[in-house]
Amino acid sequence: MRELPRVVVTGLGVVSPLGPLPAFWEDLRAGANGFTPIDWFDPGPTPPSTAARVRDWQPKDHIKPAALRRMDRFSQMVVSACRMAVADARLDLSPARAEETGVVVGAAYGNLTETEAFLRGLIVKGPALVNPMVFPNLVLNAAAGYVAIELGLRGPNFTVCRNETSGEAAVALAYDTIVCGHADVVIAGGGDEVSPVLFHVNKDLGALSPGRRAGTDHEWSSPFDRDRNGMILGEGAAMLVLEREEHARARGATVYAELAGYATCTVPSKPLLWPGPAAAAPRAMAAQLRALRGADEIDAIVSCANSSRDLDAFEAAHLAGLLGESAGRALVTSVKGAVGEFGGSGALGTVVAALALRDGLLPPLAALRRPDPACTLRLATDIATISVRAALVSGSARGGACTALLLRQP
Amino acid sequence: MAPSAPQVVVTGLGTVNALAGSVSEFVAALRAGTCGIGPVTVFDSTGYRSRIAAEVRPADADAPAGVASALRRRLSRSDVFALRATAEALADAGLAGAVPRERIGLAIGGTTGGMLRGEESLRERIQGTRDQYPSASVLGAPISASADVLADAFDLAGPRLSLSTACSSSANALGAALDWISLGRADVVVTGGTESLCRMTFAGFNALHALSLAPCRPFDRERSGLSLGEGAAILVVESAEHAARRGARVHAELLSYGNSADAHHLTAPHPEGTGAALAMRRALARAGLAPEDIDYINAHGTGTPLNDTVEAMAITAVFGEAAARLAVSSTKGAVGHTLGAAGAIEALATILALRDGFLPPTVNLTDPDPTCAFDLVPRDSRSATLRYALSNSYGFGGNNTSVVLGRA
Repeated sequence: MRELPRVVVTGLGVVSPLGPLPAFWEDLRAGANGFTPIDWFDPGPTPPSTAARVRDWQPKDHIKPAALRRMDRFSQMVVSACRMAVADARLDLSPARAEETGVVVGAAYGNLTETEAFLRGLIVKGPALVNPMVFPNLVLNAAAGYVAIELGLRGPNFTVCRNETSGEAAVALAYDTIVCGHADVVIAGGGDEVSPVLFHVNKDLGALSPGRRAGTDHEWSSPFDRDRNGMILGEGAAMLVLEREEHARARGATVYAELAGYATCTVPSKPLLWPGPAAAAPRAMAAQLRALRGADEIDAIVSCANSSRDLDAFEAAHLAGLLGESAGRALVTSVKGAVGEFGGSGALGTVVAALALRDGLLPPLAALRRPDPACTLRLATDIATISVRAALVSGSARGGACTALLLRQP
Repeated sequence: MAPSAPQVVVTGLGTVNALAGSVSEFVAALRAGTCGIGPVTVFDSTGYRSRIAAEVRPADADAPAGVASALRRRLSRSDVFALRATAEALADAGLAGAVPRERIGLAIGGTTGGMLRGEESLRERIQGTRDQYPSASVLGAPISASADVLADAFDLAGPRLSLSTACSSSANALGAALDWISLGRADVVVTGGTESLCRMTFAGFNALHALSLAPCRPFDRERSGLSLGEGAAILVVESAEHAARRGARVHAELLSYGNSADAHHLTAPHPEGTGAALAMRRALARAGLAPEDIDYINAHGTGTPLNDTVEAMAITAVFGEAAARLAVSSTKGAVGHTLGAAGAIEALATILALRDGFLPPTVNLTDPDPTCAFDLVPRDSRSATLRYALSNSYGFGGNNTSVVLGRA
């Protein structure tokens, strides 16, 4: 196997239910969450009626008025997060550099809000009255296209659609894009928004937590909790500047972490359903992980557990199987008890891993009270100051696609 | 790419489109110069300016035999196309039992996925005949759902990706598959794209005045817009060494891809085609080829006045004097613009051209645009010995992809 160029993380940008950086990181460490009663559409007369809504975000701070008028809200979140990441990385986007800078966005659903409105107009009023200006915003890659336009980026431009692991898959594709020599720099991550359609479908399926845990008026459902009762939908965008290490060193960039690579596989799962524990951790994926630099130094895990009964049971078995004997050593957290579940949550988890490596601490599973006895992992019940040599971001989705990203000290 | 990157070849082919329910039917139709564009029947097209499209024939739009009835009910039209094309490609590649399941990857592209069904359930909700969305009509709408269905149906346990970059989606999926083989992430990748007609895209292009009232005429002086189409094409790719070891038949070589963003406008191409030229140059450079090495380009060629002009400018910019001996055709006059599946269907047409030694014609082209300084292969196919070819795909978002293919 030939030596691949190393890839590092040099910039982070976040639009989230806990605000942008650094507020997002401070609140996450404090165990806060961004859940709020839904008041921007009708959630129905009975619970669940909660979601995580982005806050402390002014699109006009990041996007000029003329561009803002055309852009849908999901694209606005992604463009804003990219601008923040580029500023954080102090990236030079002169035309020559921008030509070698790419974009990879992961989104499970994208701009469903305008899609529904467009189709309602079409069905109710007929084809002669649909708004042609909205149509271009309905393609999933509109956000990535807007990023290229706003920042002048002419490198590879991809949009990944892979359910709840769209963010992890986007970071993984960006890694491949750099090591294969298609670009020196790729701004990668993901996002999604809470839309009425997505909320109601998941509610009707019984996939959503009623918000507060049964029998209490103050406790939220938590990933890996024995009494967890479903996920809460979230939204936002998290984008990371990924860069060939030589390129970053040459320009004197501050490096958060090395992205050492990823392991990936597909586990048996029925379409639209979470995989079951029996499908977890195939040997081939564990072997891919072991082959990465830093795989024997994993001290922290940012898990995809989202407080749904099935996914968390799968994930506990999956992580135990992937890590083998060292599974008991790494401390495990998840961002979804704080920001909810969405197509970009894995990208946000990757931001958390990068910050955990920089700061030597891991935020807790915010609402965890009674760890599931079936889960043998070492769960982060409180904020922990730990030495993080390497951190794993584990993502698994409905339909069985799994990706684990490995970040390590640069 | 490092010089040690392996040679990657195509060993399995499958398709469903307006012209064909199989690859052999597709070859025959391309050679015959058949046009698959006709009246829209999958939804009521009353009130649209244009009422034609390249629809898959009903006999080719049923779930394949052997699909359980529970799954059958969940399948969207684009899932069905993908299942049929994949079944054909896997059988063609002779993969059954030849490769461990976890070494088979899946990389597909598409744009609207199960939207057609989503539209139907939305209409039922608006009309009050249904108070909940069926979960499959929403959760099964993104293109990821077709990948989930394929992985489940064919037990594909390797890496999985579904890409959505509008009309270049499946060309980019081919690129991801190529990189995975190069990086050793999989021994074999099932790759391509799928797309079904739906009201959303039809209404959108209709409102943009981009749909032609008559079957589209790419590169014609009188061209007036595109004709939408639907279908799927799936390729099985693997390293040449892996294919040789298991004695697989090689249809063609997949040499490289190049992608660029216009960074100009969400729908209008850059007026000088600089993004399209950049993608072609990137693809050629990675293949280690010069413009003179390319014999044929399967153009994006939608038939809109602007696309074809800009693409011709980009080709001229990249190929210079070599353009004079270049054959350039668009298969969209035959199978329509299949959006997310177009990159894969057109890569398939290019592979067949290389393999069987013919130039697929630009169907419906009667009066070639004089600004195009190359052979546009109007109406009739003809025999030709081709060594290397390029397939171009351009999409909303200003997304440009070129794929280089070579004769086996």
